[in-house]
Amino acid sequence: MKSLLTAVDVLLVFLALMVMSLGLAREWSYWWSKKESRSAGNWAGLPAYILQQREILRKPAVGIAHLCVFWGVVLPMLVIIAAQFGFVLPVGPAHTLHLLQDIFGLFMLLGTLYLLRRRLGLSSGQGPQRTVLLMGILLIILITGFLAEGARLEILYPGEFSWFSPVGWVFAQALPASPLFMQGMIRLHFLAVCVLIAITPFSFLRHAVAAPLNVFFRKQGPRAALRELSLETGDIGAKSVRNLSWKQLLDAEACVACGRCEENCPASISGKLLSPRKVMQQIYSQAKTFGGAQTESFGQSGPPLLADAISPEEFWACTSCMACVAQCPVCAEPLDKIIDLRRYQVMGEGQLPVEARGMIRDLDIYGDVQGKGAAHREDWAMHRAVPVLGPEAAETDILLWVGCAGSYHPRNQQTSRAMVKILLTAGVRFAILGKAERCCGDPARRLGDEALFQRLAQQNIEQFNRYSAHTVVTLCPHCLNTLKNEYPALGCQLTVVHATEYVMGLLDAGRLQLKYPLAKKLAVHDACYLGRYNGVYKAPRQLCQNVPGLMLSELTRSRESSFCCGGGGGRMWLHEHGGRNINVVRAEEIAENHVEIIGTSCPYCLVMLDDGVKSLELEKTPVVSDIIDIVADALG
Amino acid sequence: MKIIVCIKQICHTYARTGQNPESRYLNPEDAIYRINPYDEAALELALRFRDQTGPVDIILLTLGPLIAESELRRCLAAGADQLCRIVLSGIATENDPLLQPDPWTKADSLARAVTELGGGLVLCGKESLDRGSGQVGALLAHLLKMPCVSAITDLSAGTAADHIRVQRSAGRGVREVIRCPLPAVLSADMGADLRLPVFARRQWALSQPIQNLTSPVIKRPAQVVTARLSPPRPRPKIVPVPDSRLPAYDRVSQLLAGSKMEKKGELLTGSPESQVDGIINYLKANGFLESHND
Ligand code: SF4
Ligand code: SF4
Repeated sequence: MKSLLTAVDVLLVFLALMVMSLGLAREWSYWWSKKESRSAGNWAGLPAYILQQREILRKPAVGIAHLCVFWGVVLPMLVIIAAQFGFVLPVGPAHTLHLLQDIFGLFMLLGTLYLLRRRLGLSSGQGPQRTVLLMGILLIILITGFLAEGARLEILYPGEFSWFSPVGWVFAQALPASPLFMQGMIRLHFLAVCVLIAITPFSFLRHAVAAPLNVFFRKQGPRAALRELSLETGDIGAKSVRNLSWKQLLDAEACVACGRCEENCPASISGKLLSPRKVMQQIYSQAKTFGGAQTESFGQSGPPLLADAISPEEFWACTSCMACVAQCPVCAEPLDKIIDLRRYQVMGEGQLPVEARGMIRDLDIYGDVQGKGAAHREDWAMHRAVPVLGPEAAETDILLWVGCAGSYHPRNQQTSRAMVKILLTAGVRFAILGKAERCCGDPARRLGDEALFQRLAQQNIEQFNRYSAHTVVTLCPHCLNTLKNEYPALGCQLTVVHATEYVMGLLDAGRLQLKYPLAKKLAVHDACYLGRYNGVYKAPRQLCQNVPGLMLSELTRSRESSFCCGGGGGRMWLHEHGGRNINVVRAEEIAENHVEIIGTSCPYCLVMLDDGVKSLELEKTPVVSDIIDIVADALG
Repeated sequence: MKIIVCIKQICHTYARTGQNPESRYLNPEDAIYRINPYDEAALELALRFRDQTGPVDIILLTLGPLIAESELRRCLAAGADQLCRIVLSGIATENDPLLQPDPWTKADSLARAVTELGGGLVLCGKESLDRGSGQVGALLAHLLKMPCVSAITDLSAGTAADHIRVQRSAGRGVREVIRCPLPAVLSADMGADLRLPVFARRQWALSQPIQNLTSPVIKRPAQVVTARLSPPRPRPKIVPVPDSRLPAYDRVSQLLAGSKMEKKGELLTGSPESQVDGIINYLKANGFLESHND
């Protein structure tokens, strides 16, 4: 393939690249300047992310269209670049490559048309209209490309069928064999490509750089971790976009407003005001407008409040279920921004929804969510062989972390006792912290009271250190997540496993025999904090399969795309305003799946789903039970 | 104007998990030190009053040893300007079973502190959670020769500058709106939840000094004296319903035995199969069934 570039063309390409890089540098300076130089990226997974686009393919139609457009752009680009370096293939492979390019071109045309039609078909509320310009330019590039190719074929091989360029051949049938026409088309094609490159920073094409960059810099540790606050320095959450970290701003930059978060957000689905997509877009537009400006230029009042753009009603509606994070194709996380908004609202403005105030106050004074006090924490274990960690129970295999629900809620107390029964049967040496245990702090943290969270966490960490605890088994997935993923930042490294995982281990080791059958149809409801947050999907299912006679089935939405019960993120204590109740939405799904038992492993889910299924007033209400209870019953 | 809010630190003895009747079934380590919630409500009313009328000084006044300092500071963080403490000296608390001076002495110390601080409006809780005499507010008003409204639920500025408008619930859903001249002593009922302090105020409150008022305590003889204090009765035990097949004598003695004789029983849970197994095992173990297996 002979180089077609003249000096002018090279200059044009150079110009386009200049505009692109300068544009990016200018548009992105507001977050780039905040970036700590140490923050290293991670190459692993990046090539696969770019080339395979599995994240995008989770929605097949759009994903395939996107893949077509992607490869339709990348392949010819590669060929052209290679050609510039005098890279010449023999005729056979060259023709094959040509054929490939031709076919990709066709796919890309179809893909572009599909995306364009889809975009135009949607109302502006559902997605950005800014992709239309991009699609237009792509279409011009494609059509001029095929026209040029057609004309070229007509000149070189008049009347012949060119197998290596079928689409070009079709075009050739209607075209004159005019070199002038061909040149014109090539110029147009080329110019459009240059324009495309140049407008990258200012158009939707930005995502082609921002998304891989965001994936490159994605959070390493635990999934959907919240931003660590250093309260001493007055960092108390997001008052304005300026309080967000550079990574959070990059998230907003990378967000393509595809709306997948919204489609999976229980709050949006149940008709609340909250839309994680809108959260990201509001942050993006505020960051664009005010991110780079000098602080002085705002005068007395400072930069506009984030809460003006994203109302409290919106951010209090979040259940912190992480569905948005799990579904985002560009690894953006609306969740940590929502929590940052809450944090400022609570610690900066003292505005906590009234319903939750009593609970936070109880946490503050009594150290548990029910306000019953530490003295009653081991009441559930009264007159039972439950050793409390202390001098006499020094040698233990595990520390059983009961949690507030397991300690105080009558329903969850049963689960605690069931767990004790299992541990005793298996001969595990265990102990509880008893009165020394405090709430793990999760409700306070998700409701934005970071100071309270840190205080509770410190109290617990002290106890862990005092008894040199090593392995902790938790009954509640929220405790699991906090102890396992959030305490390390406060200087406490523990091995933390969830009860379902631990009991599964006991079963595998042959220390438990499940003999009593239960001939029922059961489906597992994946708790957000167990599944999405900590990737525990297998253990609960395996446990159920080990109960003789139990038939395991799946709900419509399960595992990674499981639907929240509505109780997380402190929402257990808040009223639901507007729309339907999230737990009822889930309960209806359960009813449609005709299961007899819903097995869950989270105290919140248990209560929320139980309320949900009962409110449906079905003829046969499915039973909601904790998987630990089911296992303990099967022990006999 | 200065508003003085009297807040009491209490040892909240909520848990009767102890074994010892002498200590009233309380374990000392279970105690929770906090601010009397009625007093917190009084503070919240004062803060709302300030929100409505503009700048007034709100001074917190507490009495006795610092047993709930962090909670005191939390109240300060919620919006008060100053925290003062009356150091009790020369008051014998040993004779008092609750280790507190009697209401009369307390009101006396408070009254002199209020005079010293120059309070124009005094607020306190209508009673305390630990002792619940409900007298201090009224006695304080008496000693200060001020009008007193008890158990108020709302407080706002009056039409004239030297009056306030007070709302109280008069029971059975009746609400009473009272016009009260200043200065006055008001005692608050529960209802207004103390606001959540913002983080910056909390930090500020931690660094504030607690001003000690050590005006010599004139010991007023107690007017009323606690003669005896009965510990709470132990938690009632459930008396099983007598078995109706027993003869009358046995039934009566069963009732009289009360909680001493617990009805023995085992509740089988689990699947029907496991329950059946359980029953059979029980019958075998107690000799009702002969096992043929062995
Ligand atoms: S946050 Fe992610 S999923 Fe949500 S709109 Fe943006 S890109 Fe799409
Ligand atoms: S965490 Fe869940 S509820 Fe919150 S915004 Fe994301 S999807 Fe919606």
